[in-house]
Amino acid sequence: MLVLVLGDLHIPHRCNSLPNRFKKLLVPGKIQHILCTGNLCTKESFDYLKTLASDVHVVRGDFDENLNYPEQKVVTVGQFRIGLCHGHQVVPWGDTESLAMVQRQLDVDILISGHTHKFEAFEHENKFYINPGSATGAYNALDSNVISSFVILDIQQSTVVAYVYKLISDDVKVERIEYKKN
Amino acid sequence: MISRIRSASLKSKLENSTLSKPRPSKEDIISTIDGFSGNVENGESAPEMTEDNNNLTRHSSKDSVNSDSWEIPDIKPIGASYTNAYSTEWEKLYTKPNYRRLLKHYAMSGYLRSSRFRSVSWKVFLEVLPDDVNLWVSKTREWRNKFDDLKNSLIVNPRKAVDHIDLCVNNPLSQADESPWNRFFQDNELRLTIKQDVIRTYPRIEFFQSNALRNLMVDIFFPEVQFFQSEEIQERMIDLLFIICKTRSTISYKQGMHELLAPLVFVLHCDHQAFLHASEVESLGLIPTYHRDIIKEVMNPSYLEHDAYAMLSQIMETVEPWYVSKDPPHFRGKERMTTTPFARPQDLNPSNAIVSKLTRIQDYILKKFDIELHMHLDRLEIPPQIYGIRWIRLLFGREFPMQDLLVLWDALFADGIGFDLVDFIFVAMLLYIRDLLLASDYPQCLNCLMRYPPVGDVHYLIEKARYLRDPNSHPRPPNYTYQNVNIVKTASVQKKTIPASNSSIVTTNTTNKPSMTTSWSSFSRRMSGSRPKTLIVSSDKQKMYKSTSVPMNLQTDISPGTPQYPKQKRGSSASLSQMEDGYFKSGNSTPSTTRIETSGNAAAAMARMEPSVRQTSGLSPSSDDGAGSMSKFATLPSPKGKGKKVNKEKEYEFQIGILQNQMSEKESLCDYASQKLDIHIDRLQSELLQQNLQNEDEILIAIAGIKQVRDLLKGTLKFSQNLVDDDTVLKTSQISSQDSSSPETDFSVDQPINRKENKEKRPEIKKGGKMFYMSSEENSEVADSPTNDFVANSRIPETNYELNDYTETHMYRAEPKMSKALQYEGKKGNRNNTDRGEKTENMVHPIVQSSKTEKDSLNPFDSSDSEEDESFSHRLVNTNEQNMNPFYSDSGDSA
Repeated sequence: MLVLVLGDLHIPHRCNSLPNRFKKLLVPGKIQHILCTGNLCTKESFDYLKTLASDVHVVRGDFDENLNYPEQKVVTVGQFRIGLCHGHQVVPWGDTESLAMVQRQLDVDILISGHTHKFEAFEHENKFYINPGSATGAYNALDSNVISSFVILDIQQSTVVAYVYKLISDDVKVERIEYKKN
Repeated sequence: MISRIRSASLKSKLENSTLSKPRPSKEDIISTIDGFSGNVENGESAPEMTEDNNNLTRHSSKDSVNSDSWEIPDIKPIGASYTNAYSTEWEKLYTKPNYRRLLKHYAMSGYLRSSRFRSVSWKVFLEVLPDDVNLWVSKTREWRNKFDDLKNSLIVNPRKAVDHIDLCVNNPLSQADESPWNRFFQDNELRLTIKQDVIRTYPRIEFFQSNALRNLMVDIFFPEVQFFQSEEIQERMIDLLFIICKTRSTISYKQGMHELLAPLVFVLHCDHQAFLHASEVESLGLIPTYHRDIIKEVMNPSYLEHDAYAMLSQIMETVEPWYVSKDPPHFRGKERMTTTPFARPQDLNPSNAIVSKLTRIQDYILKKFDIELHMHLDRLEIPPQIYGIRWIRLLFGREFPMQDLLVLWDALFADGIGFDLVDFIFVAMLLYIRDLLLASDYPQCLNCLMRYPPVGDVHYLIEKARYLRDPNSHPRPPNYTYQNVNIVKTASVQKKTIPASNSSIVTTNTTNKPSMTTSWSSFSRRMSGSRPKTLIVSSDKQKMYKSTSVPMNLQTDISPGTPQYPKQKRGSSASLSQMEDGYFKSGNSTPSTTRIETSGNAAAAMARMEPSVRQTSGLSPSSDDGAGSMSKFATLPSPKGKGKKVNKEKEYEFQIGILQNQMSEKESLCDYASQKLDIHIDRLQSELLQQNLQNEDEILIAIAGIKQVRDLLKGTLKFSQNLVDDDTVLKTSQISSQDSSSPETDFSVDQPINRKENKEKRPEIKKGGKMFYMSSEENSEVADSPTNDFVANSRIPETNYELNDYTETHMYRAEPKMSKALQYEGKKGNRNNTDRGEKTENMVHPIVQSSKTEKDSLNPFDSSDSEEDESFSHRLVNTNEQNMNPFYSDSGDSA
């Protein structure tokens, strides 16, 4: 089962759209779920995600127009509980221990957070942490040099394979990270 | 099924009674009939019996000239449930040196219906397995390996895909062609399509469940429902179809393939279960080790997919072109002008294999065999592809219930890998419902074609198809057509309402409803199918050319100067099969009656016959019947004057239904009697020739008369008033009783009490009878001598064989001849007109007299004393006078 993880689009404030290379890759019919860490900003972005898969989960970022998105969300896919949180509330931003606190709070196997605009995926205390980065490569408060990236999770029973798509100098690079639940 | 049992058993019984014993006694006949009826009651629960009967039939036909061109060894019952049946069946099917030919015969005859090796037989037919049994194991393994290879290479699992492929290619979102993920997603689309169909495989079973009338069918189908609903089977089917599609890139998947696969999987599964059961019982031990190994290998249940694949791929070899469909070219502007104006849609796009095939079937084969139906469909503008694409692509999978379908496929596959038989089964199916179609308008036709009515005996279609393809080498099957059991349907189409007689119509599905051929050509073709044989074998050279025109036959038959010489070959089993044909086609002329299985009555009639005089006495009940039922029919409107028309209308309709049933029943009895006559006349003649009798002339004349009666019964000789001899004198008796019954008594025709009622009510209805008499009088001329008969008969070629007329004339024609024959036979030398006239004048008390008649009818020729003789002759007068149906109201029950 394929799950698309992305966030921090900042359309139209900081970027006009997803990179074309990404748009070509993202076609309907392959992805079952979309987990978005927020900062879509406009409803149009959300609608675009809806065209890729019918099941879209969004949490509220600090720039989202829609105030109805929840701060945190837990989605169960297969055998995995996946926690979703934008991350601007977690200080210091992107800090492992702070995220681990949220993970414990939500009691999830995988915690997905964003806001740093920097791809990260690591295991910590047998839990999996994913930061998909910014899909549009929008700048953040501290860094203007951001690489566009998103993540596809292929969830099979007790195994998750994360495919990381990065746009480096107009070229899509793919990385593969495997996580096994024990 | 039941009908097949019935026909088979009847056939064998008949052969038994007429062939194996030259002079069967009455007891013999009765006992065989008892056995026969018992068999019918047992119905499907007695398959062994059936097989025995078939066996018998085959056995006895061995020595006949016209039997199958190759000899069939004894067929032991297939599917019997004794312990070593499994091994026995195997031995019987596959261990004979020439087993394949035998197998083909089994399949064609429907003997594989209960076989536990059907899948193996199919594999042999489909050339999945070679002819040589010794190669089966290796060949089976070969196929299975092939499937495994295909499965491995074609079913892609991107997650198992090796890591050495570049991640840029091997990732879920990759759109590169070589990406396993991309292939995976593309395949998934196909699999989804397949899955949709597979899940819906055999949805009609639910339909059966909802229909309370077909509970039986549900019982049969219920396991199957679950079978195809189970997830595992579905997954297997999806995989399998997927692989098939992948290997046949030209067509990919088309709807319908799953319907082809389902029966294959079903058969394999059943066979596997049977195998497992047999292994448990350990009846396999009786099979020699070598063969046991073969069975174990071939029947291995874990290779269901593999074997199904092998069979389906072989089927697809042939069927594939039928699935190819090209989109019709889009005509625009000028292009459109080039196409023929008024061209039918099927002609516009000939590139499509299935369409051209269908067009060929309808425009060529159907036209050849039934131009009327062809024109009808043409006029309604029903192109064959509307219904035919499904028929052919699914190999009729949707038109028949599963068990019937399997039998049909037995024959299809056995016939050869090319499935040539499909075309002819197609036509046979159309012919089967031709009456329904001809009587229907466009929507009804479509409805009928799209939802093919249930077929009682699918084996008939096979026989018919084989006959259509090659009329010379296959016996002509009887003319079944579809019977409406469903009254609601019937009422609209054929206006027959038979609610109360349901009990007697239980078997209507399987009976032959007359196919009304209005065209002379097809009529004569049908008749000549059986007639010329009679003529050609006779020694009279003149008849050789006469055989072309059927009715002419009578001339030689009647003319007293040339008594017929024995036809030596008659009475062999060849003529018997012919006889049976005739028996089943018997109802040729009933226009809209629901035909009832008449075997019971025929059997009853047979039981009543004294063996020595069977030829003639067999007639008497039927002639009585006619008088009874027909006059009932005639006098039906008489109570109209009493008012309450509206109320009575329904009653009338109801009665008409019953009467029509009876009429058709009698007619078939008539035909049957004529066939019997045929045989016995020959026997009589051959006997007579050997003995030098003093009054040979008389006997020969009598025989000639009997022959005439036979022809009348057969319908080859049309009855006309001229044939009624002595009728001027007999007219005086019109004041006497009418052998008629009031409508009320019609409800219980089959009960003896009814007779009394009949007698009581007769006088009231005299008027109606008179009316009919008057009308018939116009035709009547005095025709005393056989020469006059001859003249009358010579008009026969002009006979109008149109639908309605045919029925009536058929009825008219049979009766006076009988009377004549009876006179000849019953009172030799006492053929004095005046004498009889006196007698009839004496008979003015209808009730007394008719009661006598009834007695006589049971065995008129035993009567030696004069009074009974008189009454008998008087009865004849009555029938002449009424000039109606030659049948007797209570033929079936009096035995």
